Amino acid sequence: MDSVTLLRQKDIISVLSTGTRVDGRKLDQYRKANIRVGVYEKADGSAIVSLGNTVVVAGIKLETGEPFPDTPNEGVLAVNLELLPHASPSFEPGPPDENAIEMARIVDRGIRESKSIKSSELCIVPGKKVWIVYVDISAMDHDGNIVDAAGLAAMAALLSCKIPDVRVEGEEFLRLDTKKPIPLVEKPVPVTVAKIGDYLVVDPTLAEEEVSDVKVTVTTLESGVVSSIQKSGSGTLTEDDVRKIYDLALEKGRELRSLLSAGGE
Amino acid sequence: MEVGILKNCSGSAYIEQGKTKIIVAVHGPREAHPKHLALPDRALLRTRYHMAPFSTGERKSPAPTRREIELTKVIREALEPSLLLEEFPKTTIDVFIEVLQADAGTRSAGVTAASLALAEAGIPMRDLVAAIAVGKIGGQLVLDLNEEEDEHGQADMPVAMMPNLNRITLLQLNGRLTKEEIVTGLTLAQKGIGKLYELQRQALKSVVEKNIGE
Amino acid sequence: MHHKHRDLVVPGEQIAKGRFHAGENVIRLDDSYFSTVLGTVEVRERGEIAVRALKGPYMPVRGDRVIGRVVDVSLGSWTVDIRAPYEAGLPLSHFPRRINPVFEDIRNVMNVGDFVYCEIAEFDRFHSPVLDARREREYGLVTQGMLIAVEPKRVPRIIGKRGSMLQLLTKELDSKITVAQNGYVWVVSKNEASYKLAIEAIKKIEEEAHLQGLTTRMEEYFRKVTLKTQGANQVGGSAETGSSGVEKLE
Repeated sequence: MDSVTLLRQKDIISVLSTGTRVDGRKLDQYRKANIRVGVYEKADGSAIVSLGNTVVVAGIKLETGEPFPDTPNEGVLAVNLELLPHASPSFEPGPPDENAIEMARIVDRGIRESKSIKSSELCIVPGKKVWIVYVDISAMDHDGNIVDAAGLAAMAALLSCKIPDVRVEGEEFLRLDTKKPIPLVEKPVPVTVAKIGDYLVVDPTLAEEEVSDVKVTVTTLESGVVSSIQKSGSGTLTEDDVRKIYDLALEKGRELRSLLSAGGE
Repeated sequence: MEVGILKNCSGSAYIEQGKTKIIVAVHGPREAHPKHLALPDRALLRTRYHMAPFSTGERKSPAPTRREIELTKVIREALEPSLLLEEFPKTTIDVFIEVLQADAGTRSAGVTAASLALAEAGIPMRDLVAAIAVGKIGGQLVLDLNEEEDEHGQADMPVAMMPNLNRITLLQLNGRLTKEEIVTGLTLAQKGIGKLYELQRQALKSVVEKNIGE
Repeated sequence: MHHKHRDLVVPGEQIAKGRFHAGENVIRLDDSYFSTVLGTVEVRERGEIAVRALKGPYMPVRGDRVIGRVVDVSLGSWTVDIRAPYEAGLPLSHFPRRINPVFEDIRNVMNVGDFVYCEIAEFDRFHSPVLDARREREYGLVTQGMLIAVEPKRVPRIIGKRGSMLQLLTKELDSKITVAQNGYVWVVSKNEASYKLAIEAIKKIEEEAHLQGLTTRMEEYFRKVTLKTQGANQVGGSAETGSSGVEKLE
């Protein structure tokens, strides 16, 4: 076990005042991130992301089904996240709790609201059959900031995912052997910032999350447009905080996005 | 096979057998919550066998299926005889088995990895447990079917054993076999389990060697 | 004997056959002796064979000094998580000063989430461990510094033969260091840099615990670190920070 507990918030804040954190990082520095794609051949797309000691896995399964009635010509995106009991002694097995659901919905909104996936290209038979893209994320080891790791894993998995071409013949459709990549036009990246005292730290570890009053996750696109914001925790924020957090989210988002393209470290 | 890959648990193990990939984490022995579950004279072993939604050909809903619930029980009963549960009365030992990719033989690989994770956690046991499935395809007995073989085969018999004590802790049959086939199958399984046991030993011993390398 | 002293064995592996004595982590079947854990063989006197486990749960022993986290408060006691298979109880009467629950809110003395340094007063398999914080002056609420969680089985290595490693750490980190048997290293230091160095040093000890000559290697490690920081902030000269005094104790 690798946990370090600082006993007083005062001590943690005094460490932060030196400009570095307990693990030696700067306040605006991410842990070493590692992304591996294509790890599970049975999944249509998959990725493992580690952010320091936090490890998250994402797998994509493509199914066909009926579209939603209000979007008859568009495919469907479904994001699910599970906090596996593997990740922490305090995670109970069972259906996702409010934390897991919140995280799943943050990742989902980041992708959906940015219209990253061209859902019209996921349509097979208008009004009848569309592709349903299931993104299932499992957190395997918890050392803080599962959300960002989850967002990266989902994106990396989507980038590596291929949709089979389909030939429609009347009421029937056939899956062909050729495939094409999922039509992605944007690469949203979530960046989480924790507020400890007056300090803003990116990519909090578990210990840092436990002493923070509030966390904010901002998902940005390359252009700087924000596709999702979530404030989590019962502390408060100032307007100045929000501005600073946006700047961090944009800068760090770009750094992380470049890792996605590199497809590695 | 690898052990000690997860940091937030008492013990962990990862196994790849053909295309089947499984990760196991152990928490405990720890205080039983709720307390009324606790046994007065031994630890309570709890297991969970679960398949990730992306682990199978068609997506599997995250909610537990009847098959997962049955396998949870069968795997627990495969591990229980090996553990010295009397050393930790009134506690629970939780074993979580997550199938990341399924290509048949998941309960067997799950047992093998779970036993490794328990050993890595330092939970005292009489012996390690390793498991393998005996199959029958085209009239012939074989070991460790993959999914395709399983689908077209005539029988599937998973077997788990404590190799040093030569005792069977899991035995099931899906399909049809004659008595001779069962006996021959068990001998075949024993050989396979012996090989798996060697891999388990190596994985455990390399925990130490890994540190030396650094 | 199938194995010799210090050999690495896995659970179920046969260590010996014949007339021996089964010690820690060893079971006997007829006249064969097997290991029950992953660990190293220890041949002790009078034919006792034991296995020292590499890793395992912390089992409370009476007299052990431990640091625990309060997880529940009730009228007569605190429930404390001491990183063991069992939660421990600290009765009100075992606290270093007298507390009258009628006049004082117990939660103001020590509440959920607080840490306490104390010792195991009683423990057997059928009752929860009972803690006592009265005997030593340092016992009581832990309010400052940093706690580093370590594998309980590594604690002897962090203390070292006759305390040699602990002495080295105390000197090099210029901090007060308390090592709890249940796997906590409590560091109280005047400067932030020591905390970071402490974390790294302890991690190194944990990783190399099973290797020989660790104390010497740690001395070398600290020498390099001091030279690095000195090089970073002065012009010339080098103060001798060697710990030759400690070497003699080996």
